[in-house]
Amino acid sequence: METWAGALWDRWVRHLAEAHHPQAEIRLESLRRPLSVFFRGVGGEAGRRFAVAERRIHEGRRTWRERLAGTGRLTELPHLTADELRLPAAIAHFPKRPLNRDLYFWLALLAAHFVPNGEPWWLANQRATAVALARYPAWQERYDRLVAASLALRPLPHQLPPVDAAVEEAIRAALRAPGSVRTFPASPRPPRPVMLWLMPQETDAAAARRRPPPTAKDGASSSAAAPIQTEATEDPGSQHGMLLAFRAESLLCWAEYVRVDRSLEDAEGDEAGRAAAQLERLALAEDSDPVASRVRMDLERPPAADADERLREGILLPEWDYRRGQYRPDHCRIDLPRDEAMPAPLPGQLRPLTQRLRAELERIRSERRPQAGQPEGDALDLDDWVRRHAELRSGCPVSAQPRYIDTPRTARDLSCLLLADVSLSTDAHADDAHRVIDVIRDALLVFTEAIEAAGDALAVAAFSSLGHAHVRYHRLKDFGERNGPAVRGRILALRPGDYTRLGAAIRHAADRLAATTSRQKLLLVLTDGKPHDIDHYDGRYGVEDTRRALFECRRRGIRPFCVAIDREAADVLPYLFGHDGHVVVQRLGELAARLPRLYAELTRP
Amino acid sequence: MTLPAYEPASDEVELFEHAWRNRLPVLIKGPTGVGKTRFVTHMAARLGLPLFSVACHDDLTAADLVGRHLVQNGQTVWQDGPLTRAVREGGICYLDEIVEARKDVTVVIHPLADHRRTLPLERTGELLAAPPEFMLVVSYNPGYQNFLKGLKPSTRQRFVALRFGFPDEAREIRILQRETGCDALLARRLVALGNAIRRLDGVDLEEVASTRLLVYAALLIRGGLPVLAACRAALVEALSDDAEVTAGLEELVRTVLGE
Ligand SMILES: Nc1ncnc2c1ncn2[C@@H]1O[C@H](COP(=O)(O)OP(=O)(O)OP(=O)(O)O)[C@@H](O)[C@H]1O
Ligand SMILES: [Mg+2]
Repeated sequence: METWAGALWDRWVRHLAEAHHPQAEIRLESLRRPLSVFFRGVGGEAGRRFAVAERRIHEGRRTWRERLAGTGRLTELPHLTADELRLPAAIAHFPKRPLNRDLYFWLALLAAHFVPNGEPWWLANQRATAVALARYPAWQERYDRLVAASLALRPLPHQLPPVDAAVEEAIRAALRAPGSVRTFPASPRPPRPVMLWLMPQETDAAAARRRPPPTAKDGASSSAAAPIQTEATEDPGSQHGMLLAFRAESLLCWAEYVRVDRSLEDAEGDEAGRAAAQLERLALAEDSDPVASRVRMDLERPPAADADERLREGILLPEWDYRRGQYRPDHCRIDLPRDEAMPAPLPGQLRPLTQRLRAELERIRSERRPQAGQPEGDALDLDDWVRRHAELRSGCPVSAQPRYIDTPRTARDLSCLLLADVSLSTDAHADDAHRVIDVIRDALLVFTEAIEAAGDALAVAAFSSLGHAHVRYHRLKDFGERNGPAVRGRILALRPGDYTRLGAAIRHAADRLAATTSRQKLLLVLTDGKPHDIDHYDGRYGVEDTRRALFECRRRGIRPFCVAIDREAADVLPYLFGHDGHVVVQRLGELAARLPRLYAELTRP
Repeated sequence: MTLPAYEPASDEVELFEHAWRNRLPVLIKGPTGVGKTRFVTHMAARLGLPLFSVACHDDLTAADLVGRHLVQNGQTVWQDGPLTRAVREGGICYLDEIVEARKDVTVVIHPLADHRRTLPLERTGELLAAPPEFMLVVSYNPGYQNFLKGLKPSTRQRFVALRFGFPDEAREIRILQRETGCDALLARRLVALGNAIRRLDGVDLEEVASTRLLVYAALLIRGGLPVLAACRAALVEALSDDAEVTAGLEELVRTVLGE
């Protein structure tokens, strides 16, 4: 499989290696955020979630591809997946930096207007180009410049064999006058990639055209396979990521070309089929972990709990039984799992975001305001002084002490506890590279760093449950504990647990918050779903108990606020947290950035 | 006297008049710079009423609104605050950003904002009854959730509420042309830019481009500043301090308005 796909891929990417101007290179890393701002501004969020090629996902892939082509400079071809826009890690086609930079913005603009409606890629790109230029005529000039520069890098049609020449002519015409090319000549080879276009996306139709695995048949060139196999043996751990990369991009490219190229299909189709089969198997294998743990969990499930069982030892909490309208005393037990995590540093890819958010939250801390009418302070409250004198003369009674204007050192007196749901549902995939738990972990790490900058007291905890006697409450950071490697290690060691006994977790968190002396207490609940546990803790029962627990919070002066990361949970949230007591984060990838900003907003003085 | 121009969104002018005739206080909510103040100014002029505006902040005391004793030439004199003047003279008192006000301020406005329509002046011992012309108008920006602040239900439920949003395209173009005298093409492009920036709400920007900022940009361009420079000053730098965000915003400007 590596052999066949590798050879084809190699042919594809080698073209791009030719023009290269390191001195004018623009790296995606430096443009990621401006691009995403731009992309959203030109309407890019429509229907598809935006994520510029994630470094974390693509790092391995890129290295592999670099090796494949025998150079260190090849990068991804731009393409759209179901929820990401993936762009090359660097662009250096043109000798002038502004042009390379423009290409990034052009691809973002194009992607924002790209409608994956099953059209062939050469039509879809023309259409998106025409729409984008019609909508933003000011881009025309820049587009023309890009076309001229990129055509200069393409082979001249008359230098090519006739079949390829026809294709090349069509591409040139389509670039110069987008929308003008209505038919596209068939070709035995994929054309040289068009750097101003997005690569084809795998459509359902294309996926369906994939052949089922036939019997084995050798025949493809074996030389191109070498680099891949080298990588696989060098580092067995990376094999998996590499193959996934294949599924994600190269496969969807060849799916398109298999159709037009009979000879290629005959010679190598079997290999292709096997490749597909193997990929599918791997995709399944990848999911096998959660399945296993689910099975284990079901075996562990304790017998249906006696409704009135009263626990004896440990941290015990009541639970609200709405049917009877009363509490079940000592019904839940909190487990505090032992802290066995190794200290760890902040993962590198989170650093830029963390730094930015820290700077933003620093501002909260420094936002001190002078307060008039204080019993002591830096300056006399003149307003008050004048009033006193005036009142003295007009015969009003005046209290004896003068008043001052003070800028209190600790204008904020706030404690926040962030409680994250790490039940098994967080094992689900947030997108094709991340599970929800990964997103939550990142968010907790970033949040902890950022809030430290605001100077507020913070505790972080995570919970899951397996019946009323096992509500696991992971203390990730206690109030008063310094943020550091130990805290980060605990967060990084978080694994998805079982169920979601929200009421008990909230009650325990509230006890911890209540023990602080802060004037204001905020309980942030980060969850992806509804209250749910074995032993009848679901449906109305779970919801009512959670609601009761939140009601208890408010009565104790704790303000609960929910950050939900699942739209499906949205229907019970207003009932639990109130209309302005929750938000639903629509784009999971933004959770880490969103959470600290939300906090800043919620607590702005 | 000429009316300050106001471009209505729907029936808010009639609604306001009805509220005034029925002696009901009005609450206007909406993001910054979308014409709340302009609307109230317009309505005051339209109804021929004096307008007393107060921007609320957390140092604003009830005395700032109601009035205080001052010492003048060795004499103590009582000076009415804006709220008291509005009550005495029968005008509109407009409290901007009411959520920023301290609790003692809300206490003062409660009896004025229900059927009693009275203002007790503790320090002078007076109890003022508001004349029929008097009207209380408050505004706030509900855009951000803040758990330390918020409008108490007991305050909110004393008002007839109007929601202001960003104007639709045609209306905003009219506003820009009327406010700045710019041509239709520039107005259209600036509004397109405004709407592009508004797509970034809550994700990249805390606050997005208001009509006010578009007016500023149009004025600078009309005054002869190059488009890019004008937009950079009036929009890009006004909206964000983050260099990466402003880089993205500048690309948006170039995309919508050209070089
Ligand atoms: N409907 C409108 N008609 C005419 N001008 C408008 C309108 N809406 C906005 N404007 C223009 O926008 C500017 C800002 O409006 P205004 O000061 O009323 O905003 P605001 O909603 O009171 O904002 P803030 O909440 O920041 O006080 C006005 O000076 C005016 O130029
Ligand atoms: Mg205003």
